[in-house]
Amino acid sequence: MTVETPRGAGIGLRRGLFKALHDDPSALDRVDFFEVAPENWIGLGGRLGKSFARFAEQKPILAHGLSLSLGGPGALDTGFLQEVKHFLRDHQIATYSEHLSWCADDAHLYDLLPIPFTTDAVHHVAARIRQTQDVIGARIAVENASFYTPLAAEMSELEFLLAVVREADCDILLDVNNIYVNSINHRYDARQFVDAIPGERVRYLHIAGHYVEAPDLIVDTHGAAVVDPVFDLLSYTRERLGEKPVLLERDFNLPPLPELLAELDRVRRHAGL
Amino acid sequence: MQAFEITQRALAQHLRDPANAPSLPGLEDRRVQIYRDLLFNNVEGLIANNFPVMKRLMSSEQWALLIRAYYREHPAHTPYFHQIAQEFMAFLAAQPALWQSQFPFLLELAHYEWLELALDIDTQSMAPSRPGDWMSQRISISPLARLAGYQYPVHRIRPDWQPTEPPAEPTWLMVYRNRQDKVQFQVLTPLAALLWATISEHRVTGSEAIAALNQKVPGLQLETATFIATLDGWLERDIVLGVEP
Repeated sequence: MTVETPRGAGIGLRRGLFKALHDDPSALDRVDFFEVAPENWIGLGGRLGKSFARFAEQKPILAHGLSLSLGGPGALDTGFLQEVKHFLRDHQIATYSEHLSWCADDAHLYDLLPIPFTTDAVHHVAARIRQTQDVIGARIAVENASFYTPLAAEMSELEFLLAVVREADCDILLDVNNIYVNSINHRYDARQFVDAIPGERVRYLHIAGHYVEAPDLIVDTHGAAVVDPVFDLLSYTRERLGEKPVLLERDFNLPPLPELLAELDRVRRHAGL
Repeated sequence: MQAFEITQRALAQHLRDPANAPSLPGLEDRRVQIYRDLLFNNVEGLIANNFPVMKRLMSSEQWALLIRAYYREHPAHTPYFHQIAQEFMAFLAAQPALWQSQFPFLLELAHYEWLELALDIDTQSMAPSRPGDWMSQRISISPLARLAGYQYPVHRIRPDWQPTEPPAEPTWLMVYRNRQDKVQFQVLTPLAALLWATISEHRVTGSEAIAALNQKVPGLQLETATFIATLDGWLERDIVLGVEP
């Protein structure tokens, strides 16, 4: 099937933005698409559900999941996956992505943890991605997740990502900030990482701000403005992989909407959009 | 179990209970500390958003201990962040020893805070208002109105007012969402609560409701005027929708 991902640059649709978007509808003209976490909106009615539906009608939506636990032990939650499938259908969402990480063993931890980069884990994760794609009826995209400690690594993060994508026949949501964060935290060359990514597999890009805990330890908080080295890496990614849609992630310390939109314009310039 | 899975389960146990489950050998502790902080702060924030009054009643140490006990001991199965409140309530109900002596009203307060948020995001909607003759036509109630009965007056609990024993009379709260999608509450008299129970359990006309009530409560002579005034008030607040077509 053909997968249509909107072009341009978008932002995450969060409750904290509703009032500003409502007060200044012209702001919508400067956003090409929204990204949402299905976990935040499935089964949500009332004033929040109505606002969500109103904005979702006006712009293309990409779904970026948090709770599926693609890399987790225990069984894949297929009941939840069915609900995600209905959500995608109801809002005409063509792109569903998840993190290459895990967030539950037999119960949820509600945050993203690194997968041990081993051959057995490649097979395990790839099988779960295939199972997900069978239910959804389309390829999904997996995100290179940020991580702060390696766990029993037999291979590099890059080798693990490429092996999973090959075996699962899935797409990639390439998070440029995560490449930068991980390249500092785990001492590798961010540009070499980008060079090795098969461009035709990249559905779209993420970019975000982060928090510097120590010179060799950065935390991917989505709570600050994007820093210059990450913008530079975005420009580099544009040169190497061609034009891709970009999503600016901002989950905490939301700035006023005009400031966020100005940052989105800067994203456009660096991504050649 | 494959080796990677053993690693994952050991890490999960450590993050749920760092004081008792050891970290993994060979990991740099300041890196694991990032996860200990991220996960705990995340679950603390999710619960604090759902139970703001409860959090303000406790010292930060008490609150942190309660959240840690929840994270350590309660297996949460919902993938939905807006359902974590139910998980936390189930934990409180299963572990009364953690709160009963110091905050005897805690589970009731949790229920009240949860109910307000649950109605705020409820997916049901209301039919248009349809006034009619309360006495001869069947009364139609809002799907977004809930009667809650508590031993403690949970709507009044604050840091500087924390009852240690329940008052003689229970508290009846009508919690509802109106047509402006705002969640409100109304304190009901015991009689009004009984009236609500009667019209919400069965599809009845006003005459039938009054007859049933007078029969149920010996000595009660509910007057038609009182009944109509109550229903008119509820219609104004969107607690009842009017009469059935």
